[in-house]
Amino acid sequence: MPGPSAFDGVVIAGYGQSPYHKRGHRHPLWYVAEAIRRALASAAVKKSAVDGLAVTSFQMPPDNATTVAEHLGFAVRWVFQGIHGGASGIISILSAARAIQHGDAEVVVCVAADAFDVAQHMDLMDRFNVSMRDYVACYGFGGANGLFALVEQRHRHEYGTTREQLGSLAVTQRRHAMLNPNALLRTPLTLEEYLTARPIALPIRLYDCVLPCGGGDAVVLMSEERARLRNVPLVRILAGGQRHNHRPEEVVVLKQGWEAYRDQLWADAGLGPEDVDIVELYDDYPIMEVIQFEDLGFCQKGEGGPWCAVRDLSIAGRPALNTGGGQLSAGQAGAAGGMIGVVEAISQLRGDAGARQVSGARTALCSGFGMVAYGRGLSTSAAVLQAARQ
Amino acid sequence: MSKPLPRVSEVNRAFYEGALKGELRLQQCEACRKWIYFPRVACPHCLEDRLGWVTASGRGSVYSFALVHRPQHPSFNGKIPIVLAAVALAEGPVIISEITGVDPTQVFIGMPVEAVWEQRSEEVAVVHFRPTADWRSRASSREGRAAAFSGNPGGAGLSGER
Repeated sequence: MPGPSAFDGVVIAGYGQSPYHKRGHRHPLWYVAEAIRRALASAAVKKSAVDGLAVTSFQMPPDNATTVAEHLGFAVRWVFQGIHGGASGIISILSAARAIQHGDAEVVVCVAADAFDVAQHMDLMDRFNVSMRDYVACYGFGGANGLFALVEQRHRHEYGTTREQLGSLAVTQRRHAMLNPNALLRTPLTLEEYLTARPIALPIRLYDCVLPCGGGDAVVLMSEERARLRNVPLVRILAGGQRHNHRPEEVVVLKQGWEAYRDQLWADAGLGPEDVDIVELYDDYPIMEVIQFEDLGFCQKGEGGPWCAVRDLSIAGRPALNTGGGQLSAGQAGAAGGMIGVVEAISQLRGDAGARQVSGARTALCSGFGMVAYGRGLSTSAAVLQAARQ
Repeated sequence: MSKPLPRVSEVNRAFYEGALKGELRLQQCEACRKWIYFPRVACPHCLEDRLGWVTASGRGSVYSFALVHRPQHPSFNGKIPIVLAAVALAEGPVIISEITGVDPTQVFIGMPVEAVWEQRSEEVAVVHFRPTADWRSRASSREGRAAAFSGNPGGAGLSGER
């Protein structure tokens, strides 16, 4: 048994996911509200008990987390707005846990939601931040797809990573999505189809890319003392970390921020990569999953491709990867991409995952990644979650 | 439809003034002497705000590249694929740009390139890179090129890059 964790006394007591829709045909706030409604029901908590709110949504401006509280009628004493793109979901949870530990809030909802289509997503990338707007968007760079194609090409050059190795991840996740009624891409995908798909930004092809969509994901945190009164399955945060602007002098970054805190993360959790049943990685592209396996200590740098290819990462294997299909097959609802993996992990750790349930799942690693700026994502996050013994 | 333009500001005006003259200007910190790109208000190494503008060689080599078939903006649709590249400049900084003036299938990691300019407006020219006249002598392997189109590992035998 690990010792007391850094987030002792706080638990995740509920989770919720809105329906996911292609071309997000509802207003982004609808997905925010729907995810919160379901998360509160799952935690058996009334809306009036919520006194902390964390919101991440790219489409919120000129609104913000405080005006979302207004729109949905939450009177709160702690508000957090995610500003780290796809790393925000986990960071909001870690921050909420700290707030609860210190008495700044008792019951916090963390939500991430957006309603995108492809054109809206590309427009967002062109003006995502000043360095993108003024020094990248003037080229036909192809949005995030082009920038991560640079990462993949360089990773292949340095380490010999192959398209087949990357494809094995996309194919496995599609099989998981076929067991997830809320996933948007549920038709079978073969390795051959992956390898020969429409070119997007070579070496990146269609099935390396996420489907921008509408959706929202939320979790509810509270003190363990309070949660014990509710008779719902609880999940603990054993450890968490974040890092921003890792390797500031690099532009095409193959070693990302996770490497800076992975040793501390595993030490805090009192276990290692070999002990987790589930990994819910930030899968904006398969190449980033390979880099996360490397940087989070599952294998050595450069060995991620072969490591993934020889392993059973399905729900029958260990670790099971992106068990709901991930963003690659369930869809990327903007900022919700940083929360979808956490919600899937909680669903698995509570034993609620139905046809895709990983048998005996007790411990999960979740990661986040985001805020693409001059050629690279600036923000990484990770957390180790574990089902609390009843 | 016109291509997206950068916003010229106090921070980057010297860069774009140089661009109109065909000069690739980089910032250099007067305190720690490090080279800087993209333009900053202060040195990201030492936070000194005395940054000089120096005309760089305009030479570099391809650090990574991608063949973009789906640009983010319709104004680019006429010349697909676009060769998006990260170019390691001789002075050190890596710049994201395009490779033009060469068959896209010929581009490889390590390819030596030099700056060329595309006039976009009265105020703005955008830097691209084209292969130097002697690039073929640096193309010791074709693996890097082939990698973009097949499932093969990319460019293990290429020179010119660490």
